[in-house]
Amino acid sequence: MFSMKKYLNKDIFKIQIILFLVSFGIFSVSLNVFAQTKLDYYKKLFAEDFEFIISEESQDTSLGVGSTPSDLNDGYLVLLSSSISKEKTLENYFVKNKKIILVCDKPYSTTNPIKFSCDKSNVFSSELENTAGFLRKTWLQGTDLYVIPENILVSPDERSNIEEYFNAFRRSDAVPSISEDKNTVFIKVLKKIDQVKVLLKTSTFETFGIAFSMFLIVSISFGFLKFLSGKNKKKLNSSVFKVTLIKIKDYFALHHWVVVYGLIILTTMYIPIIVTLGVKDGRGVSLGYFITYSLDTFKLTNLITYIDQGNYFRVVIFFYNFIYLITLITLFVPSLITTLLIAFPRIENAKLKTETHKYAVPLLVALSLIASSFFEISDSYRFLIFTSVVLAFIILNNLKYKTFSYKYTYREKMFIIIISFLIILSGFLMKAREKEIGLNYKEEDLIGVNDKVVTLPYSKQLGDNVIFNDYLVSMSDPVFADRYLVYSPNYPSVENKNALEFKNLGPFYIQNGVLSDMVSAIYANEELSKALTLKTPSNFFKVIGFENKSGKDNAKIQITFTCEIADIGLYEIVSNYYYVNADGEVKDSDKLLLYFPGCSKVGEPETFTVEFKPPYIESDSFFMRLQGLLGKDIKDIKILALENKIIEPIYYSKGRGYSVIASGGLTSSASTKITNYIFPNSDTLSKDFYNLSFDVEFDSEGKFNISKPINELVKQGVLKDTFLIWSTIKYVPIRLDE
Amino acid sequence: MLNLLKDNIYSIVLNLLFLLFLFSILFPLEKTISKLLKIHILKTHILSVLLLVVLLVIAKISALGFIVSFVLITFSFLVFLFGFLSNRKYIYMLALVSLSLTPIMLILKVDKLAEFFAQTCYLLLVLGVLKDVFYEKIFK
Repeated sequence: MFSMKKYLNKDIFKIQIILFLVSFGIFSVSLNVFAQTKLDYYKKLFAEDFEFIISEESQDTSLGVGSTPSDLNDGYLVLLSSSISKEKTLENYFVKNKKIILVCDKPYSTTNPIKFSCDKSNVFSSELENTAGFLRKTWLQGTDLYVIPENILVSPDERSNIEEYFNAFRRSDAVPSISEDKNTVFIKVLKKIDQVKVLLKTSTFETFGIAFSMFLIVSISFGFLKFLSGKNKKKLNSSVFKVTLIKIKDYFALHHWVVVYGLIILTTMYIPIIVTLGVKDGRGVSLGYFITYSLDTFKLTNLITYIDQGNYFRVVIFFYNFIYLITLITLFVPSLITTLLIAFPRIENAKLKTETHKYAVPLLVALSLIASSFFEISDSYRFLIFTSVVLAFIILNNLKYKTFSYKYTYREKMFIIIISFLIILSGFLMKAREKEIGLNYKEEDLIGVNDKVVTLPYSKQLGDNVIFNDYLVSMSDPVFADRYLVYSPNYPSVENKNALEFKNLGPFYIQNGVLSDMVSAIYANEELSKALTLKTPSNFFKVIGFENKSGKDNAKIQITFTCEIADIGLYEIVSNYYYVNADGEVKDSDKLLLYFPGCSKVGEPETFTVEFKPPYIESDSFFMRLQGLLGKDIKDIKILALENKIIEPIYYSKGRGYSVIASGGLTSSASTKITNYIFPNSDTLSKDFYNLSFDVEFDSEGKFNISKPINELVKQGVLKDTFLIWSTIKYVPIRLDE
Repeated sequence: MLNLLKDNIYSIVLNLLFLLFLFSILFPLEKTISKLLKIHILKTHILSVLLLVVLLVIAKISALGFIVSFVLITFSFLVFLFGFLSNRKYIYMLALVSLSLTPIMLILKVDKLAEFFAQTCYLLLVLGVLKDVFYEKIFK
C-alpha cells in the first residue's frame, strides 16, 4: 500500500512537471515582444502587414566576410537612412541573395554602390527605377535594393498602393526556379516528382486524405466517442478526470512509455524552435506563423529547393517535423490495429440485399461504359478503378452469402443490353465528332489573380485542354512564355528558331539553355560561338590548347576574384567540364577546383592559384563552368600550363533559368522581324520544339493580344503543366490598374 | 475511321470487357466455358477474371497512376464502408466534434486545419444521412 502511494506521488510529480512545461510553452507562445522603436515599427510593418521574412542585421561591423549572416539568404533587411553611419555605409549591408529596404526618414545621398538621394518625401536617381514613388534596383551586387520615402509609408492610401506592388514582386519572386544546369537524371527525377504532385492534387488523393484522417481520428477518439455517446454516463467530476488520467498514464506506462516521453521531449523542444523562428523572421513569437511555416516546409518537393538554396533552418524543421510525425504515428499504431480488427469483420459480415446485387451491378457496368466511351481513359481511369473495386466487393459478397442467383427477366435483359449498346454507340459518335471539329478547349483568364498590380515573371498553371481568353497588353519590353518569344513591341513580326540555325542577321535574342546543349551548338555553329563570346569574364569559358596528358601534373589555374561584396555565398568552387568525345557526343564531369576562404577586404581583388587537373579530355579544347560564381565575382582567370605557357580562356555568356544570354541588332523602330534562338534539348525538348512565327498586330488602341501566341504554343503541346511568362527586366507590370 | 479506332483502342478493349462482364451476368456463359474447358467454373470466377483483366488494362494505360490510385481508392472505399456500417451515433458525434473544432481552429488562425474539420464535418453528416436513408435498402 505504501509503495503504491509512493509510486502515485512520483507520477503526480511528473505530471506536475509536464503541466508546468505546457503552461510555460503556452505563456511563451502568447508573448509578443516588440519594443516600439521606429526601426522595430517598420520591421513589424514589413513582417506582419507585407508578410516579408525580415532578417536581423549583424552586430559585427568589420568589413570582412561574415559581416552579415549569409544563411538568411531569403530575407529582407530593413534599414533607416538615419541609422546609416560613416563607419557602416550602405554598401556594408549588401549580401548576395538578400533584399534591402531602405526607409528614408532623413535626407540621405550616396554614390556607392549606386547614385541616389532621398528624403522623407522624395527619391531621386537616374540609375534606379522609380515605381509609384519609390526607387528599386534588382540584382545590384547580387542584392535587390528598395528606397522608400517615409511619407509613403505613413500615408494610408500610398501604403496600400506600395503593398500592392510588393505583393506583385513577391509573387514574381516565388515563381518556380528553372534550372537547366542539372543533369538529365535530375530533370527526370523532378519530372517524376511533378507527376506525383499532379497525383496528389487529384480528388482521389484528397478523398483518400480525408478518409485516412477520419480513420485516424476514429482510431484515436474511439474511447472518447464511446464515452460521449454512452447511455450510463458518469458525471463529469474531478474523480472521473483523475481516473481517466491514471488510466491514460497506466496505458502509456504499460505499452508506450518510451514513445510518450520521446513525444513530450520533442513537443517541449518546439518552444525554443518557435521562439527562434519568430525572432529570426521578425514575426515575434507566433504559433500561427510557425504552423504556416511548418506546413510550407513540410513539402517534399520544397526540400530540394531548400537544400539547393542552403536554407538549412528549413531543412532542420522539415526533419524535426518528420521525426515528430513518425513518433506520433508510432504512438497510435495499437489503436489503428484495434480499429482494423473491428472494421474488417464488420465489412466482411455485411450482407447485401438481393435487390442491391440485381440493380447495382448493371448500373455500375453502365457507368463504367460511360466513363470509357465518353472520356479519355487517362482522365477516367480513377473512376473505372472505383467501379471495379465496388463490383469486386459486390461479387465477393455474393460469393459468400449467395443472396442473388443472377436471374433477370427477358425484358430486363433486353433493356440492359440496349442501354449498354446505346452508350457505346453515342460515345463513339461523340469521339468521331470531336476528332472532326478538334478538341473542345475550355477558356480561362491568362492572369488568374485579382490583384491590381501583377508583375513579370508570372507562373501560370495550365489545366487540361485549357486555352486563354484574350489578354491585351501594351508593354515596352519583350515577353516570353518559357523559352518562346511571344511579344516584342518594336517589330512587326516575331519568329522562334533553333539555335543551330543561328545567323547574325537582323535583330535577335539567344535564349539560355542546358549547358551540354549549348556546348554542342557552340561547337557546331561558329557564328553562334562568336555571338555568345564575351570580353568580360564569366563563369562559363572555353579552354583551348591545354595539353591534358603532359601538362596535367604541373599546370595551375589562377583565379582573381573582384571582391566587390563581402560575402559571395560560396566556400568551395566546383568546376563542370564539358567536351566533345570522338563520337561527337558532349560529355561532362565535375571536380572541386578550390576552397574559397573569402576576401581580405571589400573592393580589393584577391588572387588564388591552385593546381589544375581537369579530367582526361579527348578533344583539344573544352568548356568549364564555375558553379555558383557570377561574372561580377571574377576579375580574371589564367591557366599556367607547362613551359610558362599562359592560356587565357574565352568567356561565353550563360544565364540562369529562363533568360536571354545574347542579343543583337535591336533597334527601336525596325521594319524587319526579330528572331529568338532556342537551344533544342537533346534529351527532352527536341520533340517539343516548335517553330513559332507570327505577326505582332496591334488593335486600334495600340494593344496586342498576348494570349494568341500563347494559345498557339498550348495547342502545339509546347507549354505544359506550369509555364513562366517573363521579360528581360524583372518586375515589368503585365497588369496595372490604378 | 481506322485512325479513330486506333486512337481509342483502349476504350474499345475496355468496352468489350465490360460488355462481356454484363453478358456473363445476364446469361449462363459459365456453362458454355465449363463445357469447352471441361472443368467446373462458377459465374463468380468468370466475373473475377474479367475484373482482373479490366484492372490490368487500366494499369497498362496509367502505370504509376494506377498503382497509387488503386491503393488509395480501395482504402477510401473500405473506410467509407466501415463508416456506413458503424453505429450512426458515432458518425454524428464525430461530426459534432469536427463542427466544434472548426471555429476553434479559425480563432487560432490555423485556417488549413479549420478547413479540414469543416470538410470532415460535412462528409460525416453526408455519411450519416446516407446511412439513415439507404442502409436498410442496401444491407440486410
